Amino acid sequence: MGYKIKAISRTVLVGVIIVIIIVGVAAGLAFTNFLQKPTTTPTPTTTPTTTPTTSPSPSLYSVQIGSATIRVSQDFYNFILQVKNNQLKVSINFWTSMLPFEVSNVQKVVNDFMSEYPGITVKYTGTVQNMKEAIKAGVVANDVENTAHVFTWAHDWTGEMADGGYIISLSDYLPPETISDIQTQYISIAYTAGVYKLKLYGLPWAAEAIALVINKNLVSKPPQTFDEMLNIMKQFNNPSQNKFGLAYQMDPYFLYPFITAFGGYYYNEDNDTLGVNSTETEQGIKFWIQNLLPYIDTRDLSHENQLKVFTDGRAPFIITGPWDIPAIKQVGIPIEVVPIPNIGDKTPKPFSGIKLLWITKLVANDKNRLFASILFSLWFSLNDNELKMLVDKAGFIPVKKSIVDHLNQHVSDYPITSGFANSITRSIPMPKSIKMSYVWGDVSNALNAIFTEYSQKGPDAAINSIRTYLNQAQQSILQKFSGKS
Amino acid sequence: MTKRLEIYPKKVALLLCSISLFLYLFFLIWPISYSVFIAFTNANAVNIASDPKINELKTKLQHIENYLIKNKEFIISKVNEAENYINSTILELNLLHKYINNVNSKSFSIIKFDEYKQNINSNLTNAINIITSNSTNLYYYTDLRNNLDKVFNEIQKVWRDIDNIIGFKLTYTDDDINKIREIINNNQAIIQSYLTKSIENLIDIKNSYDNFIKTVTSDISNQIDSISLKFVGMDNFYTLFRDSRFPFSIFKTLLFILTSVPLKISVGLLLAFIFSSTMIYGRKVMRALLLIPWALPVLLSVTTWRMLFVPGQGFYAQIFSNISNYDFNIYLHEWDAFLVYNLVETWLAYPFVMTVTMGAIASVPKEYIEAAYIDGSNVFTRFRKIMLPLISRPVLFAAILTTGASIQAFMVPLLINNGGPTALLGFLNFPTALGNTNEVIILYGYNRAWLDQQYGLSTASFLIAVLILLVFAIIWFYFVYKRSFSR
Repeated sequence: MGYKIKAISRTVLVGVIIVIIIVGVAAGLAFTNFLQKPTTTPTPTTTPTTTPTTSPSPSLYSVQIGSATIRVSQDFYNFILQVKNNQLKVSINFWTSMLPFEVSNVQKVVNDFMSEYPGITVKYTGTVQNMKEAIKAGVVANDVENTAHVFTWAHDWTGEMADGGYIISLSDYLPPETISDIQTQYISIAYTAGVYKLKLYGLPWAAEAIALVINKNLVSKPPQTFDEMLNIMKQFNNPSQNKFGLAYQMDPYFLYPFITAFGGYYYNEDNDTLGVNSTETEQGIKFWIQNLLPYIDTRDLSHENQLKVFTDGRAPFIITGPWDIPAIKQVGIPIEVVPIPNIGDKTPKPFSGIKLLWITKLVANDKNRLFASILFSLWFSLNDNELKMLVDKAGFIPVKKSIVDHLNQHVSDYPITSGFANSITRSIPMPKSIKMSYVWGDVSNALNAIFTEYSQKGPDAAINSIRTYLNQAQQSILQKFSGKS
Repeated sequence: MTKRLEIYPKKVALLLCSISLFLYLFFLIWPISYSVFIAFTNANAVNIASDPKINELKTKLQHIENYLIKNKEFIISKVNEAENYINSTILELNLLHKYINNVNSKSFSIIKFDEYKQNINSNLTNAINIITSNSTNLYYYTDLRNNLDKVFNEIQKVWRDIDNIIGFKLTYTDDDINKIREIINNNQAIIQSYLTKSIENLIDIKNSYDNFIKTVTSDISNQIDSISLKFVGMDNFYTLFRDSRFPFSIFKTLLFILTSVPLKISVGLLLAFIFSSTMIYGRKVMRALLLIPWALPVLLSVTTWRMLFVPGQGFYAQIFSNISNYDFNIYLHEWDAFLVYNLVETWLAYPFVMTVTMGAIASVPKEYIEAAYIDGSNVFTRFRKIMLPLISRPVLFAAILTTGASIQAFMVPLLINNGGPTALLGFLNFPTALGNTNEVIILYGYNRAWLDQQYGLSTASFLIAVLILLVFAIIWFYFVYKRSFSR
């Protein structure tokens, strides 16, 4: 009997397995079909059945958002009134991936916003890990409640986020008049950073670029030219006593100023050209080997070690961005910030990143949340008081014209911020295209290899190797480009 | 039989069966087959999760043709409007060009300049608004969009450069004016050429509207195509072996197994024997302390090890350099880093080997050893003839597991120096390529995914790692397990 039961249960088991596999496969197929075919067939957003007249501008209302007066549509105007008077309740999620001291200051901005518009609740998460992946996953899964509606990061994510459809364009939801009013509020480089393929995607509120940070205990007057800087570096450099002329980490982002000074570049998205192995790029790297590397602690070129060299007072200069300022201030070194000085008539132009506020696709079908997200982004990027607070407390470099003006009128009050701001005005914004993500790794490899050559065989061997390694990198990146398209 | 059925009713059996099979299917078969599938696609950052955009574009594609046919008149009128705005932009640009070439530092007026700037900006913005508007769909005409995009970017660059010169000055020198003039003269031609191209695009639309519809639909299809995940067959595997990096990575992994496994086993064995001896006072406490590497989070302990080996500053790095009078540098020297990987890996794994071995030693009956002792055998004979054969199975078992861990080495090289240093790699007859000299297989896959965002390629490399593990498992099963355990 036992045999039989065993035999029966085995047959049943096999049968069930087969059935479930079939069901599973069928369900899988159905699921993929479902994914490909949107269940609802949304009509084109605006269908002018009756042909609109020449300029279909609906009635516009002027409204004060933050410190700016802009023209908005009637819908949006009514929405603002309602949330201001607490007649309408909306909640939105706001995500950032920031350091703790930045988060506490942004939290203040969020609180001020909520007290001005009591109808809107902003659920703020300050330190999101893997923010990009988390947002992508949330949008794909359409997880409206647990994913960001508004988030902020440097503008180089724009291409990837916009092409993938994770963020919405403000141009699709705001009348042209609003867009032109917004445009006049920011410095040109910042507004342009938010525009991708002609559409405005993100509102700028801060920027960052690397600059020359000077230890005022060691150097009283900032160098005006690179030759002056070189003299000071030579004077301080003494590796045997663990003292150096400059603290400067090695990676493609940090090295860029010296590459652009000679006319070199990595990737130009306007013409879709790759300049990794151009002679100008080669010259820039050669300059770095000859005039900077001898004065740097080359035993460890990582960020942490280079920062330590500066905070220990073992170097008069560090080339770095605003993010390191709190650590430097903490050890009490008096500093001044200036743009990296010109090399003769050549201007070193660093990469700059513009921090943008983006709105995710998740709110596109929920008008109240959409408006709340837009209002929040506008208010955040247009409010002079809050932006000033962020400058003073967290050292964020402003991009709104009125604040930049204010900064320039009070340069002596802002020795650090105005230095970075000046560096930004001469900077080159990072490319927005996703193609740039194929560039970093290979250029970094090439730099590492050149540096290995430098430390094992000396500067001449390193200079001779530049071309080989840059060619390798160029070739490898081109392969990745071709695989993509 | 009826009683048996009561204990194991078929319904319950079926229920349990189907639940377990469901779990099996969706938590095992589906994820595994999906990741295997990814290895045969061109998955990258653009197409891995592009569903939101694809859905949006597909919806657009369904409706656009009808919409464009139905609203031809409206769109043509908008095209005319845009053309006017672009023509005005060209006109204003020429006026500015003329103005700037006829002023000097005294007659230059910033108000006048701003007026030109404002006019150019507003005309261009109006034109752009028509193109991006949802009601015209001109946005999907790629040529037009690209040309206008170039105009926008170039003009913004001009304003930016001029802003840098004018800054917040109240008076301007001749030099300033010359620089502004230079900027405008240098860029005017290129901006105008793109503006003219945009106008040509607009005229094309008017001349052959049917052609425009075709272009727009094919542009949208192309865009969908460019962000869709594609099956590429064995391409990723060819790519892996197209240059030296991956083959070298396999070689490095095998080498790492050859060096780290004997180290781990011998250190573990040695410590186990020492601390099994009753002659050591406080051995229980010491034994417990020796297990600490096991208990610490790998991230913390490996980072600490890296600190100790930071060239020139780390404690061990300095000692190593002083002893050998050699610049010990994990960031620059391939084999220094490799040595540190072995050290750290050994440090991480010896508690495991030690624990297993100690258990085995404890289970060896004392009588055997005593008997051998009485028979006159010395320490080494006792170890070789009695101890070793009796503990060989558990030690072998530990060795196999720890070999598996070595094949999958990842955290240690990643945290020590990310598989560096970088050099030109040439391995056997594979073409040379720039790569990290200590990038073991798993790290190679990780870097391809996180640095290069080539998920397909990355998965393919992981699949090969799985194959290597499989080969290892088969060897283990047929040549070791069957011989020593089935007896």
